[in-house]
Amino acid sequence: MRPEDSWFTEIGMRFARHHQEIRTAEAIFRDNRHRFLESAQDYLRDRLESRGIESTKSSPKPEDKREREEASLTVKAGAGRSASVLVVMGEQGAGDRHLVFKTGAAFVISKEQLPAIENVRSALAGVQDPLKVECFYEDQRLQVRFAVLDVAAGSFTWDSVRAELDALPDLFLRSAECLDCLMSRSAGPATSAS
Amino acid sequence: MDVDQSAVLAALDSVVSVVRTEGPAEAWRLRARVCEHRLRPVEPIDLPGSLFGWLGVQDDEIRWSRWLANCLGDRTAIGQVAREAFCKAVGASISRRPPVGDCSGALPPDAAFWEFVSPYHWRVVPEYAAPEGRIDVFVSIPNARTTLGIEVKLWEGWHPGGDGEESQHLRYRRLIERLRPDGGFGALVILTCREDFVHEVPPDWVFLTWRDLGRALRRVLADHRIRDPMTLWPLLLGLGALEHHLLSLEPGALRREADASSILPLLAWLDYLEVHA
Repeated sequence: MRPEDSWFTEIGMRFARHHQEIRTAEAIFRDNRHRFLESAQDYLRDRLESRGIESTKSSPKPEDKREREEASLTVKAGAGRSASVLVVMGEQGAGDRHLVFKTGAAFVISKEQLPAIENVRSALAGVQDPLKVECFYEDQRLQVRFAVLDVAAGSFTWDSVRAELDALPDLFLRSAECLDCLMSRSAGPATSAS
Repeated sequence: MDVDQSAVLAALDSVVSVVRTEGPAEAWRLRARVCEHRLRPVEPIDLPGSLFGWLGVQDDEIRWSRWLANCLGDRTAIGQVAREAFCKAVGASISRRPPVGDCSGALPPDAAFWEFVSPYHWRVVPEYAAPEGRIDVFVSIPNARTTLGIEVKLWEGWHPGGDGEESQHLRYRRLIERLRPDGGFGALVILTCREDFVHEVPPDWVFLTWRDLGRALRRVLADHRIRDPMTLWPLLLGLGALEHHLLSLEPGALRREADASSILPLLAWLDYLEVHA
């Protein structure tokens, strides 16, 4: 696969008999993806509100990377910390390209707070969540559960998208609570070693 | 559901139905291609689970550098295979991106030199601490009058120096230059997961990726023909974990029933094995 090829091009070349059909699908997808994400964003905003979480919509970023688009909601996450809840749709990875729909929460934390990641990871590991919980540090943010629906691997329906979005507010609350707890503990008075 | 959503979903569904209809046959074909290149009698990806994953250290740079140091310094077949693979990978990297001068500013060792030094005894010190800093793997090859520093990274970049402190690559250059035998070679290698990091690597460093190393290990293991897997198990376990965790290759793609969802993971394997799909 050449680096400039899109996911659609790869599929079109691999199954060449269907090339035209795939090109048409690609055009429809690119024309409508933006609004698809906005719908997901609206739905997510309702879900957050139903849990008492206020959020501000950010406009979907128009193709910041060629094949990816994301819509985010900015949310206050406790003690002066801000966070984003994100939905992303587009291609992922170079040379290992999938078309994915991703969701997750991203908390702005400093590098000094990085050791907290392990604790957040273990705190969230016990959460009964049908989707895998993941924690990692990227772009100066603690990213929590960027769950991925691989569009080609299973049935990609509005129901599956909704299930993703339904799970997000709870994940966000648990992660924020966990971070608050860890940060207040680390900011507390120093204790002498025994 | 509004029109925009259904348009996107219908468009994707039409692509997915092509993949579903045509996919299984393609997946079987790709899997057969991958299987032609399996290592025998033991294939690392067949080993149950990953040791690094089981210990929860798959993201721990220090564990990976210790594993590498232990393999390179080993005096059994493990060391022989590891050194040969490492030297082949370094040689290939040099051919693609010749380093400009070694630490002394003299001509750097070429690919042929690295093939030449691999059979010698290597004195390997993990996490070598010196006034200039703690380099991940320090190697001395007395018979070849060569010292080698290997900085191991996973996803991060150079550690920035503190106030007025030299950056990591400059400090390690001084370290290797100081320890280089008179008239001998001093070489520096950066080993990383990040292909794009090459733009941040100074020209006198050899740029090596874990992908290069994994490929070279496979080639050497295939040539050696694994006679007794028991003698090589730490290397085989590490290679399987490297491919799984650092290269994100899916072992499951080779084990499960081939279907459309296996196509991309199988293509990733073929790309890694440098086999045409």
